[in-house]
Amino acid sequence: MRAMKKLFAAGLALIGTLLLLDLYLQLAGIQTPMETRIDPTLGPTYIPNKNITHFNEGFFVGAANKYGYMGPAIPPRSQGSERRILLIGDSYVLGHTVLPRHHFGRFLETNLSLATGKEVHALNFGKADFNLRNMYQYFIDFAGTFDHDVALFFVGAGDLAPARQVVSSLYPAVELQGDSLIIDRNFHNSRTYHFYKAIEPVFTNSAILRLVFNAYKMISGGGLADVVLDKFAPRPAASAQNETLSPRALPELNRAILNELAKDPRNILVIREDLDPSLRAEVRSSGMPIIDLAAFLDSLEAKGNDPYYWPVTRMRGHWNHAAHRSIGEFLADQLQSIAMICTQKNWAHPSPLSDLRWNGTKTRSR
Amino acid sequence: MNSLLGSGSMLFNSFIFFLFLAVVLSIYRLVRGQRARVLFLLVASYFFYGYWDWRFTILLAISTTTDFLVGRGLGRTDEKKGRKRLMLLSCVVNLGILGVFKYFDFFISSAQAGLAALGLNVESFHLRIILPVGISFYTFKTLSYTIDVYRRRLDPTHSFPDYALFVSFFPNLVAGPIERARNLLPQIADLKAATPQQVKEGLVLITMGLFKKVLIGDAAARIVNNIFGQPELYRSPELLAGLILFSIQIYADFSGYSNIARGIAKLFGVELMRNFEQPYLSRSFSEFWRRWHISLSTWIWDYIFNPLMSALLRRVGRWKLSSVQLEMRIVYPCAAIITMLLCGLWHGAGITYIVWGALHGVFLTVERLAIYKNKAISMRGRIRGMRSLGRFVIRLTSTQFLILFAWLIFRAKDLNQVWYFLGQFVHWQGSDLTGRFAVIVLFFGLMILILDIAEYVTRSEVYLLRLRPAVTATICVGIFLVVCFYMMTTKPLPFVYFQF
Repeated sequence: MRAMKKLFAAGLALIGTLLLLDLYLQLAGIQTPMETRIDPTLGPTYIPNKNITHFNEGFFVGAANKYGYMGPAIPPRSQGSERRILLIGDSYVLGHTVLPRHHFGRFLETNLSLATGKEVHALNFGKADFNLRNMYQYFIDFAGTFDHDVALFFVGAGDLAPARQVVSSLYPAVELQGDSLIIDRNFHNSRTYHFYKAIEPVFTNSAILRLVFNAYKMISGGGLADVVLDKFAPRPAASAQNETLSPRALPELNRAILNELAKDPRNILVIREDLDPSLRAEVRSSGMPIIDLAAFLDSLEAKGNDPYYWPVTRMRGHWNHAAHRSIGEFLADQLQSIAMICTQKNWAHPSPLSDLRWNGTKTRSR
Repeated sequence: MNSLLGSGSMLFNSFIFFLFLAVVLSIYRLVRGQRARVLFLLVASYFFYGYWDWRFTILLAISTTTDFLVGRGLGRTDEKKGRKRLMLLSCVVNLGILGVFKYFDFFISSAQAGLAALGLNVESFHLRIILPVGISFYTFKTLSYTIDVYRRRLDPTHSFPDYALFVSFFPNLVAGPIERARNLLPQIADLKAATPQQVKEGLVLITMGLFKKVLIGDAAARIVNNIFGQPELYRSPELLAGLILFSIQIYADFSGYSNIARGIAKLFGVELMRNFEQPYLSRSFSEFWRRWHISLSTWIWDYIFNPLMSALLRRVGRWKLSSVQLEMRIVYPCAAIITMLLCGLWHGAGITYIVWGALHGVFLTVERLAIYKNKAISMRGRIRGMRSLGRFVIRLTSTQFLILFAWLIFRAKDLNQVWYFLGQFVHWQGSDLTGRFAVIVLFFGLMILILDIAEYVTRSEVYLLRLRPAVTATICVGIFLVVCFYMMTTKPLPFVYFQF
């Protein structure tokens, strides 16, 4: 009986300690619980109105809005007078390394508003780890349902090439059937989906479980030896250290996605990192308008402003504060020069969207 | 400095240190015999220090050997001149090493700037050498030994391994507590296995220290470093949050480190002095300095302030002023400001540290002479009634407000940054994230306050041991596990005081 009492007291103390610690971790912004939930149609989506704090090479304090994307809550239906730009991409677009007001979308809005004299909204639909297929599905099912004038799809080589195509039982899958693209949402029948749904209420409310999950990801990614053994950790063999070759060919499915997106002239591909010339040529052949952000970022680096360097944490990673500002300004210029947004400069040619086809002369080609 | 203390360093909040500690403790338990234990701990301590950079151990060995020999020499001679020479030799070697490695570039830059202001351009001559970790701490430790032997307050040790271990004992080697030879040498001369009570206390101290360091200090540092690194990106409420979080960070970081150091020492059967006693509950600056970094403030009191006061009083005494009180009014400010200036300089080779020290000197002087009229402030105030509570709150908040202001100078990159912060506080610019930052600051503050109040009320750092053993154990396990999970996914940050 005494032993039982002791055991009970110890168990209660452990639960109490963990609960208090969890509360502290959340309220002090040290660790946000899982900020996404698995939507049966969309896959993982941000929980509306969820406060989020993130630390990496920079830091982010913000929230998902009531519609489940980042930034101010702009409703799906447009007021008419405003201009809307959808930003679709991976963690670079998501921008969880800077405060919301330092995101390139805000600079894009400001610059275009000044140029057009109209209200411009940039809606951030970025999601970490997204590739072109995820972007397409997310655009069709969610982002594209918001009225918009332009949709910018930010891609790098890894998003276009097969190396990063992740087939997950938690995401809807884009497939090619004959000549048509279809979105298979059968993931919600998978075991993994049901497992995640079962643990979702706990995971989305517990900071400690998020820490455990992060640790699990680190261990399964092979990072444990480095963390624990430090200098004594076995170094990877020289051959493994070699960089993976840049992909050269576009998979058929991705080509079909680009072709599909190219049908709507409001869709623009923003290439955010160097592509192999053959891959670039393939992408260009889709006919989708392209903004060459990679060349712009290279030019920044050549001027001594490394867009990936974080002076405070001395790390290289996502775009830094200065890069966000420059990218916002650059995109505003590009959208004006290719007349995607009607400004005073191109006032003579209002709404040229339906006629526009990218001819490769307006932005820097590489 | 940061790159040096990042990967490849033996931080208390790293898994490699946990492994090191587990191996050293296991072997230590097996080692029999006093001499063997001392030698084993000496080797382990040099390995610990050399893990950063083996070249650092050379400086440590030079400092150790010099002071051991000086101590022996002082023990052998009664001749006043000879003793003075030996004392001078110790000061020259120790302060010389410190001067070259820590202050040379700063003084050269300052001299260059001064000459440039006079229109003289001198070619730059900087050594650009790495600052060895913890050099200020072990230099003060060895100096205290020599001074105590010189003042005949301590007999010199005849065992070189004992003395070498006193200097290099790894739990307090790199960031204190700056232990005195009087306390540590006798314990080293009679090393014993830890008692069960010491093991319990040690484990609780380590756990709570890790919690403070990792989940309060490091977690706050992630915001603080960003805000102080690029303040121009942030608005007034965010800058204020950054400043308050820094005051929490530096306390959690250093007191957490001291707890871990004391806890580890206990596991080897060694008792180190307390370094912090709830400094943010202080109602005066003198009380603050009795509670903050106690090993440094008592060192400064013993070896700088008191001798300086005596010397100045002797000098002022010759002026034959009307009263001793008048003499005190002249001598105390001089002694306090000079001492605190040196205290600031000890913290770092930079103008901000010197200004921070001087400011504390002014605070202490004003408080002593104008407010409390030489009355000592008790360490534990009793609150009787509303008036007493009101006085307590006013004293506490005004003291802490000025301490917070001083932390701004301490943390700022330079004085321009201090002006920038102050400008932003005067020309207040709101932020849409004010509420979020306020909540973050509130909960960091609440956590550190709860821990401090628990210590204050129980008058014990190991208050968890007052609970049932099973409850204490599960609380510690719970905290330790969460700390480990956090450490797995976050790069460990060095202790703030390592750079000093």
